[in-house]
Amino acid sequence: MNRRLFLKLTGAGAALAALPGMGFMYTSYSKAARGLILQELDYLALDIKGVERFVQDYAKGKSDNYLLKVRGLYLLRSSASKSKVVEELVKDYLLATDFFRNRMDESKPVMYLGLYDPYKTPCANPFSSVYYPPLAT
Amino acid sequence: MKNATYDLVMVGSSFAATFFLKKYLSKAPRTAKVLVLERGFLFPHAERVKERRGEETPYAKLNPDWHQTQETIENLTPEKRWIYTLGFGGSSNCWFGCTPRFLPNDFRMKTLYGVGNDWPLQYEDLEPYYTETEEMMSISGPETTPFPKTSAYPQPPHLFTDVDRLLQKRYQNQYINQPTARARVAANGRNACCASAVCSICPVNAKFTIENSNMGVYEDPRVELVFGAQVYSLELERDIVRKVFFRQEGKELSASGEVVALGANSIFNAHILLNAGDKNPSTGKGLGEQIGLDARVYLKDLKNLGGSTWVNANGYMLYDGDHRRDYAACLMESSNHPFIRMEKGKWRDIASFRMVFEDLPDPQNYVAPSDDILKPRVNYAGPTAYALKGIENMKQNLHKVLDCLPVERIEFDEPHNSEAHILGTTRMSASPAEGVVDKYLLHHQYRNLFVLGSGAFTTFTPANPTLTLSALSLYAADKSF
Repeated sequence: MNRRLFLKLTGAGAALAALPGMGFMYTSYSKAARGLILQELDYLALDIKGVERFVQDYAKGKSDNYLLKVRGLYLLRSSASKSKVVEELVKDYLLATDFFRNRMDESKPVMYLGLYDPYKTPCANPFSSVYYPPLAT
Repeated sequence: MKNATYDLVMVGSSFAATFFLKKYLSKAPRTAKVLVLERGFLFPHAERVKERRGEETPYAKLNPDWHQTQETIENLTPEKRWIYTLGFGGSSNCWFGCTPRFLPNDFRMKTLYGVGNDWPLQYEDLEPYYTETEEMMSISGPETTPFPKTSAYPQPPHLFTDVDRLLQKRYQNQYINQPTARARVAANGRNACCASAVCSICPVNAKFTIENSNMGVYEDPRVELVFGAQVYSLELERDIVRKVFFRQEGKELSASGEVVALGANSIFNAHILLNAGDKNPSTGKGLGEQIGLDARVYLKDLKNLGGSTWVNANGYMLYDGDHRRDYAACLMESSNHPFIRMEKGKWRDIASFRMVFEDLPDPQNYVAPSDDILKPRVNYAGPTAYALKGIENMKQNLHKVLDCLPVERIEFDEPHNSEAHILGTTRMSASPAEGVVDKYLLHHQYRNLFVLGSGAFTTFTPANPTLTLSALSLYAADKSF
């Protein structure tokens, strides 16, 4: 084991050990979820107030266990490539915005519209022929 | 009940029951008396949508929901779920509306591939009834298909995505717009599907259900529909069914019929027969279903956009052929739910295919009576080596099948717990030594007893069962009355 790996491992161990004592006390679910989204999509112009509204709306109906998990993942600096929970959170955020309706244009500001729910807003699948009709021939 | 005896007592109001009744009523005299005993209650579509929106509805508690249906059986392997819906219209309330036909070779598995058994009827026998079922369901589908077809689909096909178009160009009639009961255009009281991709309860009522079918079966004055009546046994006397026993509001009741038809699902149909003392050695045996898993295909600079429904296409490239001597056929479904790839600039450079495999009926998987007369005991030893080998072969070969696409990599999920297609406990056969019912779905021994539904499938095939079981009901009633 070289020194760099040793430091990484011991650092990770220390972070894990410190989680319950320190981070959890000062990190709310809202802060954690917001942080995970901003971190993952740092190259997009996100509407911050919209992100905050999303994480509040998203928390409704989620279990305490889920909210705790999000806090833990944030403190562990997780990401969508490492965690299905983070991937799902970020995906559901994007589906709740106008990003896909704007045809995935990464230069446009991303605005929160409301949680993606086909029962409240049917026909909103942003990849369907409703949004990408066949080209006239 | 209004009458002491009936010309026909039907158990259930499922697809199988309703299509049988439709044909029976078209041939029966105006004085015919039909009793339908439905275990559950009507839960109207609009109320189901309200429930999904989180709104209160008094209908929600009338029938067990899909979690609670697990408690209606004694499942000896609870890690394996058997998914079904109870209530008026049966599984039409939760199906996804996929309606491919079987292939002609699916009916001759023993002759062609030396596995399973041959069906006692063939594709050609069923073809006119497939057409009739497709008309009644207003099916959307393509012009050319891998199965022979004597008429066009009633509705135009759904739209492909860009990925589907490339595969269709490469494989022609082996890659088609999925035939589906999710309407392409508004018709017959249904709206057009718009790919909301939550098909179990369609938000816009685009999918065919018994409730929206406009078939006129349950409005027919000859039909008496009784809710909340769980049939659990039959009175069998000298090769004839005399009575149907059921429980309603805690009371033990019975009904007499000249003819009886079981239209519950494959687990409960077998259970009713076993409770009644049916001694056919195959009754309850060979319970099974297909196995499905998802393949996520990461694409290089190709966006997967533009489909008009949940499953845009079916691929038959791994379906039929000599390999079925050794391992299972696979039907591909091209999915269009809003999945994404979490990578900058590549959000939709991905395709998702559900790979569905047939299995063979296995006597180790069976339904038996339990100590509770209302609850079947379900024994399941798992999928056969034949199905599992099919999965492994697909994993080895999918990249070759997709060689017309710019594939970066393919990831496979674990198999789904259930495809929600319960099959094979009352299999159809030429003789009573090999199965429970004949080609008209009549019990080999009790000649006034029809046993309907996908329990009658001699072999399973990877294709969705609903269209075929509905066509079989039309065929059976047409040939028998």
